[in-house]
Amino acid sequence: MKLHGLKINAICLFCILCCALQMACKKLIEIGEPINTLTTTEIFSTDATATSAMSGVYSTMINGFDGGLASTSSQSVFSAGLTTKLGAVSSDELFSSSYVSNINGDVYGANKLTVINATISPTIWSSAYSIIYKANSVIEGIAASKSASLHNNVREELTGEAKFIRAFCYFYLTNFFGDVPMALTVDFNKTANLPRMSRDQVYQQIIKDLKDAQAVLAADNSQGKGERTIPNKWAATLLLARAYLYTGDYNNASIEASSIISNHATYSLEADLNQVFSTSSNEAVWQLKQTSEDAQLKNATPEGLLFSAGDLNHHGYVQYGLTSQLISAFEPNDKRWTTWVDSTDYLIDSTKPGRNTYFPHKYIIGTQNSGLGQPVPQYYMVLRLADAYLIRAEASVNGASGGLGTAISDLNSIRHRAGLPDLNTNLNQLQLKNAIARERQIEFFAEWGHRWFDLKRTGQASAVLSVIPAKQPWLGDGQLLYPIPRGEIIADHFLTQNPGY
Amino acid sequence: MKRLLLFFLAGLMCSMRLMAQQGPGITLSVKNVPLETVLVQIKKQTGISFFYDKDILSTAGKITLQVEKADLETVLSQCFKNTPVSYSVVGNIIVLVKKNAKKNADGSLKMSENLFSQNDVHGTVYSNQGERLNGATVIIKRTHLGTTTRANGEFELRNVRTNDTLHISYIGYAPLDVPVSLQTEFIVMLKETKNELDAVEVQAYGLTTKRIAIGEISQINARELERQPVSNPLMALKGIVPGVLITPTSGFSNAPVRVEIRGRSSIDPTSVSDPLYIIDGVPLVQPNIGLQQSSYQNGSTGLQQAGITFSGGQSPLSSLNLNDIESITVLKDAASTAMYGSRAGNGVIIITTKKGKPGKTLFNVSANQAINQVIGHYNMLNASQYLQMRREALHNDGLVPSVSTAPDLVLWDPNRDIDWQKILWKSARSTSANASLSGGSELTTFRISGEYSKQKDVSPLADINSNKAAKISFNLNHRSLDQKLSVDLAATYSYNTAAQIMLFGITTLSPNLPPIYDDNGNLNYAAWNAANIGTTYPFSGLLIPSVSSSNFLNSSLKIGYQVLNGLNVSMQMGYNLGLNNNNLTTTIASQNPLYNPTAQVFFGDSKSTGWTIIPQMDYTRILGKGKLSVKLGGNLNNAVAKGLTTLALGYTSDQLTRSVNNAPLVSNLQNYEQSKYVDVHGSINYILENKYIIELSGSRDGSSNFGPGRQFGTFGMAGLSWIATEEKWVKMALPAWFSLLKLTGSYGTTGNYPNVAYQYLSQWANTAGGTPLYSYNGVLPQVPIHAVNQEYRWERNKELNAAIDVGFLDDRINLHTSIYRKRTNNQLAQLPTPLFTGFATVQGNSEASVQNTGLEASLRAGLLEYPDFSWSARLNFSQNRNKLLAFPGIEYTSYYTTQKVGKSLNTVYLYHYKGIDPQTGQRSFEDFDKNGFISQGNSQPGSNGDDRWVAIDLSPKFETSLLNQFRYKNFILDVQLTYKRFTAASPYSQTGGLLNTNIPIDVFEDHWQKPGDISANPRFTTLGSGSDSNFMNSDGAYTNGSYLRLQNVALNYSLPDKISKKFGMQRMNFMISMQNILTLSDYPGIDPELPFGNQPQPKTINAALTLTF
Repeated sequence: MKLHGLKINAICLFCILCCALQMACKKLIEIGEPINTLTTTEIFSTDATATSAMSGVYSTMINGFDGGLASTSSQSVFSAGLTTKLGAVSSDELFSSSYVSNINGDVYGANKLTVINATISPTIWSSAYSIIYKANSVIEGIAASKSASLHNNVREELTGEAKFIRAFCYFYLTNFFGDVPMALTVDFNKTANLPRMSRDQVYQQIIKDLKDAQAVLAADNSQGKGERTIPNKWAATLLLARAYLYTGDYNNASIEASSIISNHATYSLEADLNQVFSTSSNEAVWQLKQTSEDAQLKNATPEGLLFSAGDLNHHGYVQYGLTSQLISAFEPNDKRWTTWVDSTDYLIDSTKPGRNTYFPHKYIIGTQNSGLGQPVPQYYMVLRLADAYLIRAEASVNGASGGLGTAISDLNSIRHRAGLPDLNTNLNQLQLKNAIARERQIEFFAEWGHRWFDLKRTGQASAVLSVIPAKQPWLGDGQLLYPIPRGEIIADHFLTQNPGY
Repeated sequence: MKRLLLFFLAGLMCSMRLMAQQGPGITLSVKNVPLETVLVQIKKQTGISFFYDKDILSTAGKITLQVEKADLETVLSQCFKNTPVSYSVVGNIIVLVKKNAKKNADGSLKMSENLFSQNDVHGTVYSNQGERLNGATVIIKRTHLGTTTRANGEFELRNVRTNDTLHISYIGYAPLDVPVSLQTEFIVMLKETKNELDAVEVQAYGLTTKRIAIGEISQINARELERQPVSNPLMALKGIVPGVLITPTSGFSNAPVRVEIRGRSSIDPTSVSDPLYIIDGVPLVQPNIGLQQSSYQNGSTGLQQAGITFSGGQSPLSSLNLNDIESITVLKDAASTAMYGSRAGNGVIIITTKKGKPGKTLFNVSANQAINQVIGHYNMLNASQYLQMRREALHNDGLVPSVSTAPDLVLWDPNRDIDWQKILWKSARSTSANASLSGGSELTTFRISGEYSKQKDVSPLADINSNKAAKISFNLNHRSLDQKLSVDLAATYSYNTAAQIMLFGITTLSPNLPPIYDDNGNLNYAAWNAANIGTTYPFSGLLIPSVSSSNFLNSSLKIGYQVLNGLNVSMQMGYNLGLNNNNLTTTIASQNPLYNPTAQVFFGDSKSTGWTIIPQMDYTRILGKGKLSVKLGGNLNNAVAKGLTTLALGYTSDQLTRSVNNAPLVSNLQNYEQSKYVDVHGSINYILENKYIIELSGSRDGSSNFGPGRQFGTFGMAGLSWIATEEKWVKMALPAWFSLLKLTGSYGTTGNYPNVAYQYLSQWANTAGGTPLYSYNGVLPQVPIHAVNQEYRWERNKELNAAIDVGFLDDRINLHTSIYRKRTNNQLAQLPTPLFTGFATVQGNSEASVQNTGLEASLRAGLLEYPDFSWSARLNFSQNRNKLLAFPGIEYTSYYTTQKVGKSLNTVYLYHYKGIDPQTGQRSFEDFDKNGFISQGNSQPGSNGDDRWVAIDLSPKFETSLLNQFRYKNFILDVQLTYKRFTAASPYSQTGGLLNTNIPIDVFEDHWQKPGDISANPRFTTLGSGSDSNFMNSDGAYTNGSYLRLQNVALNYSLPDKISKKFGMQRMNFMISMQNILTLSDYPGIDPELPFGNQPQPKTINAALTLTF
């Protein structure tokens, strides 16, 4: 019987073990944190890791979302060439060779977008919002961090940078899509059902973020280790000036533009056009610094790769050519024509033989001369001082202090280095407005959608574009805004579509 | 005085004859020695065991014996000639009894004795292999009361009447009725059953039989596997297990195999349908962290958790040696899987490896040689037809052939005429060799086996695509002398290396394309560049090799102890390890020299490990008039996966690409996942009077893949079964040939945990979209990699199953039919969110409720049974209906445009194709919403603003298979036919005329040429229009794919034993098996299961020779 007792004990022991197992369950399935990732709390616990979070924002803005292990997708990010590409084609700057590759023809060039054939424009939306999410993560992560190792100066600087980036993204979103939903937090429960906010509200938020950023950002380029690769106070100032201009607040636009123009110590127009986009450009306010280690991009900028010809001997294939409208807008002897435009005898359209194709050449490294890991002569220019001159000129024409005189002198600053004669000082307001528009068209051709946005905000788009043969028949001004991506309206029933789609 | 009664089994004499022929004979020379000494000698020489009562030894007296090379029978009869002992042979055992003991209970009872006197009886239950059966049931038929045997096979029963009958049963053995009479001591031997209903089947944490099972279990045994020349054991299940859909994800033999049990249950396309795999008791957790993602369509990437391969992963099950597998068991419903709880939402597949058998040590060698053949080529245009098509297309488009529009007309040799399929699809040979050694004593058995195989895949240039594998496995099983302690050790290890290349679009290459290589043997880029075609060179893949090597180890140690009669406790420890490394090399030679290429290599290196601890208690006793079985156990599982993908860039020479060290630029991606799982599970099963079976089981599970507070879930089932034919009144009512009627019903819940870890945690990494980010201005970037949701909880499946089993003619024919309804709620899914929230999806629970209902039937019939000839057949049928049952708020999700409530998840919504417009030659479609154009909108298919009103369900309507087995003397012939009814993508959906795009001749011969033509195919064009692209989204692009296929024929011949013996062999076996032999179908392409242009599944012919020593 003693043995029997033992057996009973064994059963009891087993049962106890099982019960212990159940009770210990919670303990048993505890796991450590993953070794390849950090939590938000960890990221925002030190200065170095928090700076990494902001570095993540810049890296995705220029290098895209499918880094080194996939083919480069940088051109499908609004801030790495896509804005330039679509803006130039939708307006009157470039035409596309997509005749060969796109079964539907070039719907952007023809302004014949539909919800279904709009396959590229949604990536402007998705990339911008993805970057906004990252910026929001930084803003919220720093605010929530109680770590003493995350110092106040770093908190302020990084929050300022994140707010600047958020404003920057919304600026392009609203210019492409009109009213857009405004996600200002990372909590998907709060953002998943947002409606669209009016363009005015979006600009209010942009201006608010930029003012906040302007107040806290470094006034020098110390954050970029001497390079102009991290937006500073002056980048915020220039973008703020642009936001005021776009909203018709000319006085403020002029004030902000003046403040950066007067910072001669740091910023000046490069006399040599070859230097404007270089890594050491004095005109640069903010440049995105691309990698040189990407298998496709190599040491080229996204636009350098996009617009370059297939070979260096002026015979190679190009994807985009300058439209006749843009070519004819150049004044004779404009150095920008000789420096920033190149040509090939490759025939984009084989039905029209014997024509030279001109293409943008602001960036000198392209498919043919790029090299993996080679030195990088140019960064990808985002904001440059010429913009400030042209903003102040336009603000002055429209009643800001300084008046027409300032406008003319600002325009002449730009014209001088292009080798063009001074403007006639007798120009009236309308003539001057036209001169400014034309100067912007040439100075910023194939750059960040300037032309597309200028045409739209000045109300000229319909008149200018509707007469272009490639855009016939003109479907109406609905085409001036891209359609809200179809998937977004499906996923959020509070969103409405732009008229005409 | 004890009286001993021995019960014989049928077929004894037969086995006795066999024994007599065994071995070189017995040589003995003894004088006046005790009987025991003689028995020891005989045992030594023959390996035969004896069972006897100790008393017998003394009664036998001294023995004198002189024999030389005599057979056993002679020796024994001489030995016992002058003793009061007689003997009987049972398998490998010889039982000694006293001569006056009765040999049979054939009714020769002395009626004078009191029929109602009561005795205490005891006895021992043996198997016919001589093992003492632990836990056999001994029931007094009259009272239904009884007991179970102890570890040593002994039992005792009190107050048994002399007119009682004992019913003795043990799982896997034919039950035996033993009249008690006046005997008080019994030696009972049970023989392995021939009745399929009583054959052992594996179930969750134990064994069962078809007769008493409540859950839906299908088992495939070694015999079924051997006849199929497949490289992945899962492929052997194809078509022969009702309710299980097996789909290879690519033509590579190591590729993942998609397994779906009882229909698709998840609306999420990233959700893998794989069941839980258990190998020798050890769950195999397949992580999902690699660069190549697992998905519903492509299954799990398995062992490969880093890098890139063309096969899209490596199935861990392809690492198993088919010859090592004893059985593959599929647990399909909630009743059979509830103890696995949360992990069983997609069903469970249990793989059990072979064990050694006591007796002579057997050495088994086999060699296999197989040929994989291409079953057919698409009939494409020849060069002159192709060029005619191109000219017509350019003419239609108003284009003049020039270098840029038509290099094929202007530059390329019009007299070249190549059928690229014939050049690039080659037949391939496979060879394998197997050896195994097994044997042991009653207490300790072992099995060791090894395999080497070299397999070539029928894919582009088969001499490059090859798969080599070496596999070893080991089984050791030990019982202590008192049978109470058991130790089982099983391990299998394999190494496999696969070399692959991949070419795309071979079928449609232009027949006058310039040669692949130039005069120097380099890829012919010069000709390609001259044509100035912007697309990729079609043959660059020839110099982009992928090599992948894997190691896989699965091991398990189980220690069991019988604490009390009927109570066993055990502890199982398991470990598995998967290692994979692969490299995909884009050589300089493969790239266009125009762009100064450098070589790049993806190196992938991954390791996944899992350990499992399973404490388990089983308790069995006779309780009242029934048998109670209780199981209680736990499970602790830890799985860790690590992957490192390295992209090495900028190699300046192809020779340098072997090592990452030589790369000027390197970028790394490390992936990591840990997942812990714990459960407490249990079941109670009660079988009352062999008539009523009730079972309850369940588990409480926790998984670390959930956020805090949501880690635990409880799952369970209840089932009831009634074996009506055990009821007297039913038996009376039914005709005599009706041998079984069993009704079963069950209801249960199972679950699913998320297949990715850490989704509740905020995670930052220097990766985006699964790839590393470049540093920005020298600062390491960190970005959030997924949206955070802590609220997601267990997925829940509710399954109702009803089954009816009928048997006729002593169960020679039996039919199992089941119907089920499975509903999946709280589905774990990557829920789509608007992109402006930052991410496209977030881990959560979908509101969608998915239902699968179905009917499965399996008919087994032993149609003819003669000594020299037999014919048996099996017919399987399965049908599943998938339905999106409900989806509140579907209109607010992206599923709104792709799914409809009430329809199958595999439904595609299509435009209605109206044929070719005779005026324009373009395809036309029905403008369903009459808004003037053909479009799909933001709304439901077939609603206003959307013309896709035709719904086609792509899941199979039903699948049925017929297996026949004929045996004539030493020949066995297996024939397997399968029929599948489904809708397939039509092979003829292309528009002719595009540059370097060939078309089938059928399209060419019936196409539009001028206004007024009535034709089946559109005008030729180089430009393409919306009507051409819409066609793929129309019902015109689908057709009936139903087929009847002669899936497998295997002819097996064993040399007669006499002849094998002459060669010194136990057995010699030769087999020819063929797979995918003939397909009958209305489908216009070659293989209805693969889209146009893909290489069809090959035909395999395999010859195998097996020798057993």
